[in-house]
Amino acid sequence: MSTQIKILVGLLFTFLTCLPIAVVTYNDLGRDLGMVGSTQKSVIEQRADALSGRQIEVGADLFSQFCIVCHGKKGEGISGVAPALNRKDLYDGRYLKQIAWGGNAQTFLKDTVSGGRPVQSRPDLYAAKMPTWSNQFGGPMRPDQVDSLVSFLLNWKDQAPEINAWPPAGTPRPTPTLGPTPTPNPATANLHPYCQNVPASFQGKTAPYKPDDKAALAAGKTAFESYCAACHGLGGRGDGVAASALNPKPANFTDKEFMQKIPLDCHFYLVSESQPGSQMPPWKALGEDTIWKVLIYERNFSQ
Amino acid sequence: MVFYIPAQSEAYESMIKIMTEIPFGQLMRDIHRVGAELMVAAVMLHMLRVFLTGSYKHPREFTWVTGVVLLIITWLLSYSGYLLPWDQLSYWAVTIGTSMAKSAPPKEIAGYITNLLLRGGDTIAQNGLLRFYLLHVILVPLAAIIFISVHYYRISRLHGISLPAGEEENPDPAVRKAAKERLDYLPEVLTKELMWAAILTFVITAFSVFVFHAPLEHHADPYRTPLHTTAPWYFLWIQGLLKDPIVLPTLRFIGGVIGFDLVKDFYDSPAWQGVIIPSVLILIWFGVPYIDEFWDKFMGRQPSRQGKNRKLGVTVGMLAIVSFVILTYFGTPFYAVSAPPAVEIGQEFMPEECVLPAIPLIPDDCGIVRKMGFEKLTVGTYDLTAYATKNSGEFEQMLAKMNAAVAHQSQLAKDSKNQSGLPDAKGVLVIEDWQSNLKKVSLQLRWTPTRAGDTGSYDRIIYLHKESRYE
Repeated sequence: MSTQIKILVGLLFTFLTCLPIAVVTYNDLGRDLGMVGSTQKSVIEQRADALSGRQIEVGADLFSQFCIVCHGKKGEGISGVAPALNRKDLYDGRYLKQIAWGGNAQTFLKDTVSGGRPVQSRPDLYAAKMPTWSNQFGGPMRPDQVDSLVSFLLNWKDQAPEINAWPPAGTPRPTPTLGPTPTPNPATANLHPYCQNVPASFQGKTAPYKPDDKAALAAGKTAFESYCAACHGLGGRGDGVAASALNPKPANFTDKEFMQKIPLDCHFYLVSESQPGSQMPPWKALGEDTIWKVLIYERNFSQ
Repeated sequence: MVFYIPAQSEAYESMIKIMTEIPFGQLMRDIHRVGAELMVAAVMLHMLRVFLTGSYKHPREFTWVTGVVLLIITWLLSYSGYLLPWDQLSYWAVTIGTSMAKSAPPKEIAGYITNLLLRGGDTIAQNGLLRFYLLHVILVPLAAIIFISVHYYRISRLHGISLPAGEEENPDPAVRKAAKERLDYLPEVLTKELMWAAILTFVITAFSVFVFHAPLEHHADPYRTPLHTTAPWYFLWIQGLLKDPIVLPTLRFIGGVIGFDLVKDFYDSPAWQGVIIPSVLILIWFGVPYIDEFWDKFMGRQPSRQGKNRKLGVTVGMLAIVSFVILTYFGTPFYAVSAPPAVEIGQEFMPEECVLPAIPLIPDDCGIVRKMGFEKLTVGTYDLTAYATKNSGEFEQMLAKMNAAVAHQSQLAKDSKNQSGLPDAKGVLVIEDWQSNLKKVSLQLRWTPTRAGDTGSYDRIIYLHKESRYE
């Protein structure tokens, strides 16, 4: 091939490359260059919307894992347990003004979800105390998960219903409504109400450790003391420092009769997933192995 | 290096920023990805060509050795970059890869140390990410520069690029050409290289803009292993080996014949399949020119590059290609991996992550439900059995497909007398309005449990936002 032809072909393709580049320029810079109308969205903006949409999807999944236990399936709140989140005043600034929050709804939600509430703000209304959720503060979620969750919460902003303002301080707290009454099942009739409807994926699960496995017990003790003892007490009597604020009260593992009503598979299920109405967060983020170690340690209390 | 931050908490966010805020950010990412895949493919094809034409023979033996080093460097370049987006895809692909290193014998010493050095801890976290970043931007590129220089020097100054054997070794001096015949760099070589560079740049750019976008899955989550995770395609053969399709059955068979369990106490499958066999193969690959020379001497003949004189060599090359393809197939999820059938149905229609095909540069598939899109998913409860026959319209066809998958499982159960499949399986697809612009789609599968521990139910739930278009 002669040199001239090579140069010509090379130049041709160099110019051709400008075509896709031009497309990308329009896609990415169309807004800045004024080529995209104000009603339209440029491609890069659509892409940003797509990714924030996916973030909301992730948040929805997290909400159903961690939050519905106290805040209700669709954030409608559970009377006596925790407030509604799907409420207009939380997003339009009225509530933030009331509590003199300097930032916006996003920062407020992120702060509250990440760090929880060290002191309950309305113990008169709600029994549950918001725990810390970000792993920066000892909770189970990564910061990016907190962000996704917050973007899911903020997505209520447009359609949130008007819920009556907060009742004045001193209003008697309604009794917490427990989750739906389980259908009675003769096989499980003498078990604890929480164990009536153990999902099939948990039924029949057995511990990978023997009850007298020393290494597992030691690991279980460490985990118990860091995660569980605050509510269930170092001695497992349900008398931890945080227990007084909780209703229903944390389980007492030294109560033999009570523990007989909770078979091992149900126990594992409760620790992993928690239950509507229970004050305990789901702990599955600890990983199955750690939970089993904690379980055999906990069940030793009643031996 | 300008917009990317190699930190566990920032990496994924910087990817999002690159894709959504930086002009030409996604273009650069796509070109980088396409270029990387093409580079790996080109290097492997080049090596194949050199092997088949016998170009590694004297005087080019050592050039071949540097070439094999460059192949490994190319793999490492691509693989070390794989982790950096810090999404589920990269996290688990690299977890699989480095877990092989963990079983390098002796496990307690070599495996432990390699794992610690690579991952910077027991699992991949901040330390591992930073290590892979430094490998990707400093160490491996430096090694590449050194070895490319040696490779090029040997070719351009010492022995020239190999010409077709028919020309270089032709007995007729009129036809014979010397490989060392000089070409002028200007204008011959430079114009040729520039022309091809221009053509390739166009192809890669156009492909990145119009066809392929580098995938970005959900943020890496060490607690959630996605179904069917795979290594990158050029390492699938090792993953195939790890599933142990040959040695383990053979040992089991021999053990069965002699009535002695060879597997239980003596055989460490990951160590052999993941470390020892690939290492030995690569060592042999390094030694190819020397083995070849030895073989020629042993047979007492003149070395020749022509295909007709090296039937054994060509056969070995062909066998290598065939086994590469077969092992790659073994490495994909199609072979010997299956979740429970209900989970597989959920995965087929509503995968947790968009599924990246094993063949490179084919766009990922996010499942038929996501592809249907927010608008076309009409709120309601759909009993799949009602859609067995009538299927007009895209949505009903999707339901019919789901029904077919469910019915297939109950038929399977009927045929096998409940040994496999899902007896009396029924499926319901529920689509709910969940929030503004957000729908919840749940595929609920119910069947008659036959075994202990079988739950008889499986729900696959995904949420779909109006704007999150999955192409």
